[in-house]
Amino acid sequence: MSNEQTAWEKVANMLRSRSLWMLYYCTGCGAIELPPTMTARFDMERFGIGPMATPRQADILLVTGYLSTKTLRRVVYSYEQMQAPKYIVGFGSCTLNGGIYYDSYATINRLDLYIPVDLYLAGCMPRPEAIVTGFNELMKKIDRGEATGWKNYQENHEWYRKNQIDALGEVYVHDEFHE
Amino acid sequence: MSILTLIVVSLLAAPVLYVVARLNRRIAYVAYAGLQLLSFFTVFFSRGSTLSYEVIGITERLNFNFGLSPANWFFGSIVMLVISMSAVFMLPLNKTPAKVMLLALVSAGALGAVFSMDFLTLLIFWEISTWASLILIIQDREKSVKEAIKYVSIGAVGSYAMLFSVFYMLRELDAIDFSTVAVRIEKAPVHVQLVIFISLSVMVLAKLGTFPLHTWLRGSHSCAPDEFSPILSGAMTKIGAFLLFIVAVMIPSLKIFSQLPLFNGIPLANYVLAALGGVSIVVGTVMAIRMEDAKELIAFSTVSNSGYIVLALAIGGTYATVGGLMHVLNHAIASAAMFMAVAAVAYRTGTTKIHEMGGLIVKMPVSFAAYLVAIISVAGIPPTSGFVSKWLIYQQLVQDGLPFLAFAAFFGSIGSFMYVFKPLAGIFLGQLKPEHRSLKEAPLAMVFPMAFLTLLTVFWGILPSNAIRAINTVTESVGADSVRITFSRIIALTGQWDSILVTGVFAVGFFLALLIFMKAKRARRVELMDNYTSGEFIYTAELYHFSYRMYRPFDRMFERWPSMEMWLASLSDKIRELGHLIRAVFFPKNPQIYVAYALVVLLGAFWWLR
Amino acid sequence: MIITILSAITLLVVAFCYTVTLEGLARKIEARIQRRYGPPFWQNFIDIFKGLTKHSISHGFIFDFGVLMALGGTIATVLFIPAGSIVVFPGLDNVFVVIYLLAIGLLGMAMSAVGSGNPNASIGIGRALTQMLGYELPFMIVLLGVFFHYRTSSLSELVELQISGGSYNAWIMPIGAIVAFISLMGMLGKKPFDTFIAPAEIASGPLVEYSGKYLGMLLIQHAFATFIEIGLFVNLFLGGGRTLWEFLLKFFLVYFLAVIISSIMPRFRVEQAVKFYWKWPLILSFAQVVIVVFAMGR
Repeated sequence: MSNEQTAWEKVANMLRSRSLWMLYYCTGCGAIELPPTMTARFDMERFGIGPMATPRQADILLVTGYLSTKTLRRVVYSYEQMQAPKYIVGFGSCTLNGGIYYDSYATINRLDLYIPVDLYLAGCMPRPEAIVTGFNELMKKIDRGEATGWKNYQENHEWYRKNQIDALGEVYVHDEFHE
Repeated sequence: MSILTLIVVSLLAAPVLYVVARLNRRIAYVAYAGLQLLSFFTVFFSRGSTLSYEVIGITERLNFNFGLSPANWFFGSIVMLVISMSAVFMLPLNKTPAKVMLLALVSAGALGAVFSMDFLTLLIFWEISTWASLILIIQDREKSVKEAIKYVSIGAVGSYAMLFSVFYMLRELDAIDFSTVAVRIEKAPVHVQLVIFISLSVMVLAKLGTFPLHTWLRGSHSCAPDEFSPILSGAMTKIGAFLLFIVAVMIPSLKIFSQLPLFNGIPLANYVLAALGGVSIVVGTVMAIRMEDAKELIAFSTVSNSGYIVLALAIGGTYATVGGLMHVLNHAIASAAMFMAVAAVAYRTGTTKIHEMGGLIVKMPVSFAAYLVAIISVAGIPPTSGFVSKWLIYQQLVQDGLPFLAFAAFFGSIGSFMYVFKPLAGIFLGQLKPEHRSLKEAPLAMVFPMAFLTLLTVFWGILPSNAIRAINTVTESVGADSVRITFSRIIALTGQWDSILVTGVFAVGFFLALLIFMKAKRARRVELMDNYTSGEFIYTAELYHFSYRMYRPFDRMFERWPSMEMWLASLSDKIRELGHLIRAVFFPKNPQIYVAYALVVLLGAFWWLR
Repeated sequence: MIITILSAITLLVVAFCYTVTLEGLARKIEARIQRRYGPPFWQNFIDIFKGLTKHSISHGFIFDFGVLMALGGTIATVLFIPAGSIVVFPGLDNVFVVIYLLAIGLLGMAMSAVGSGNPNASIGIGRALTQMLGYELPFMIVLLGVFFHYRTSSLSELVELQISGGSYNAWIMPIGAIVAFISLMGMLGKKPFDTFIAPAEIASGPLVEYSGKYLGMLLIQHAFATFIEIGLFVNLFLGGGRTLWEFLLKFFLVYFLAVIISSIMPRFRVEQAVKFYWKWPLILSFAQVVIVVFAMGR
């Protein structure tokens, strides 16, 4: 949360906020609100946000919906394959507090414990107008230099790792299916 | 040492080396390599002297004639370069006394062939070389016998055609040495000219490996011992190019056949030969794209490039002739380098199938570099020498306005990107197999020839005027025109380019890219298995290496096309069935049928003699 | 010498700025065709510079070297394209040299993509090479006709001959110009011939493991390659330009046409693309060359 930015960082953050490439990891039902947002009616591309196919090229990881433990392993793996600076947007109430699956044994309740989230969009599901407002909020946050989730992850890596292992057992699965 | 002594020494060296190899194989091979290097240096530095010798007469009129004209020197240097580099290359490989004797015979025959001054000498020494190579092909593997039979039968077609043409020439023109034939054939009637041209062309097509006599290349190149494939593809096929040079350029075929109907400005006989070369380019390229074994792929690449040589030397003209001769040089070096790289890899891994290897660039970087430069040369990309020859051939095609042959030439050039990339991607790039993790680079005796050939390719790409000046002396010596060059520019009627400028601009571009690369943040090195896997966890490297049937959509397009190999195989089946039929009819197993035959013959004889 | 260096720098700067602006403009045009607003026209600049500031990973020596070879070869090729009044190497810019230098760029990117170890990249490169065999053949045959007609294969001379002759190649050889335009769409990698990128199928094909500065450099390379290919078409068939502005105007018109055609088309499979190119474009190109060689005078 540094408020002092050098000129170079200001320029870089301006560049990053105006050209966000998204990897939407459609883990749950929240993904259904994305096609209307991307297409002609609520055009998302006018903010410079576009879809990207692989984590290596993407800036934003959009976690849309509930996360079972099986999916969380892959989400953590994909997050670690992304290149800094990277931002995570938690989409829908399930990432915020468990949503309608808050008492399930197979899903997690709070995404923030496992990977650092920069912005939450509450709703079940949020409408495209809410998504557009949320992304504008994210862009302003990046401009101000406050979207530093990736730095948090690097600095507090053990804490995140401890939470992941508590919930999942092991992150990189190593059984006879995967050899 | 004079050329004559060299040839005699090479011939005598064969049995001597056999005896030496019985005692100590290593010394025999080192002696063989030393002899080849000595031959190469002698040949290369004896440029300029034009002497000819006569040796033992076969009959009163026929002698062995050797000489050192510029054409002999040019082809001799190419052949001896490839053979000497292969001789050094094969030092770490499997050694037997039989192989070293046969190799000595092959090189002696090749030497004698390229320094001959008349057709009979050429044929005799060429046959020595061919028969030695035939036995050499079947040395290492059992299944090579069938391939060797294909080789000898298709070679026999060519050899008998050439033998026929030699004695026909003797009867009609009363001479068999190159210069006299070139003069006398101009005044001969048309049918004599055509018969000599066609029969010699059959030999050229058979030995170069051009459509329709190309089916032997695939088997013999892939089944030959790894160290012999560079010699087979880089040296022995180039003797065929030497004969083509004599037939098409030394004998001024364009002038001679100008009475025949002209097709786009080119006489019909030459155009048919060039068209066969064009078809060979297309067939070689398409078949090469479908191969899964690296050596078979390079064998079909040889088919394709032989098509280029035939096309260039057949259509004639200043640029095509010089371009064709330069292509002989380029392809010899590039093909030898490619086979050597594959042989080095096979020496370490034990296989030549592309899908059984992967990721070897980290273990064998020099082989990778040699292979990369060789394929850049085959594809015809500057700044390697392959681009120069292709550019000259294109200029001739543009100047003459030959769209169909140009189609074949462009097809070969662009299709070659596809098939040369496949072993690069499958063998050297991609995921490394766990059992190959402990491999080392090829031994020094293998690395040195590959590096030398690579340097030559790049040198003649940056400074092609060096090679073209030598080729100009060759073409001027037979009365053809030469290409205008300055120190770094090649000037044709329809365009020019500057090789040092192109290399310089490429270096500037590379430097600019390097600048951007360095200014940005330093990249973090990750290993190959840390890859985009759609979020799945994969720990087996083989599952993530894509190389088998890399061009499956392209293969599907050509699956039902007619294939020369299948046609020939069905033809041989029909002949075998004919033999069975004759055996069943005339040599039956039952005695009753013999009695019936005897009765029929006796009755027929009585009726006829009544 | 100084003139050469200055014109080279000018050409590179103009090519980069103009092409990246046009790419952003193309996104806006596509958006308007789809009845939405689209990003601002300077969006591609932001994309490239953002890419250059991100962190990146590397998979080894050939991964880095291939990208450098790609960008270096493409920058080298840009210097051989005449752009109106900016001609860096008059007389020495042979078209075959241009086409094969462009192939260095492709080879570098292919090596680097496959060197990343991802099979999606190998699939993408296999498709790209197969498609290249498809679109290059009709193009080169039409070029043969052009060179035969003007007795030269140098780009700057062809431009001068067309301007002084008074009529562009597109009017003299209309069939050839149409075939060359169809090949141009394949070269640019625009729909319906963008199967080797195919984001949804093979995860952007060759670009799958590129991040940060590699992606930025490859976007720059793509912009330069677009400049080279469309510049080649404009110089060969539309007479280049007497001034830089005329050249840039014709460039924009060709690019605009390509963009609006591609924005409404789906994607061919690679064997459909190759079969398409080997049917009518090839027949038409042969017809054009036969007309040029046999019917038209020299």
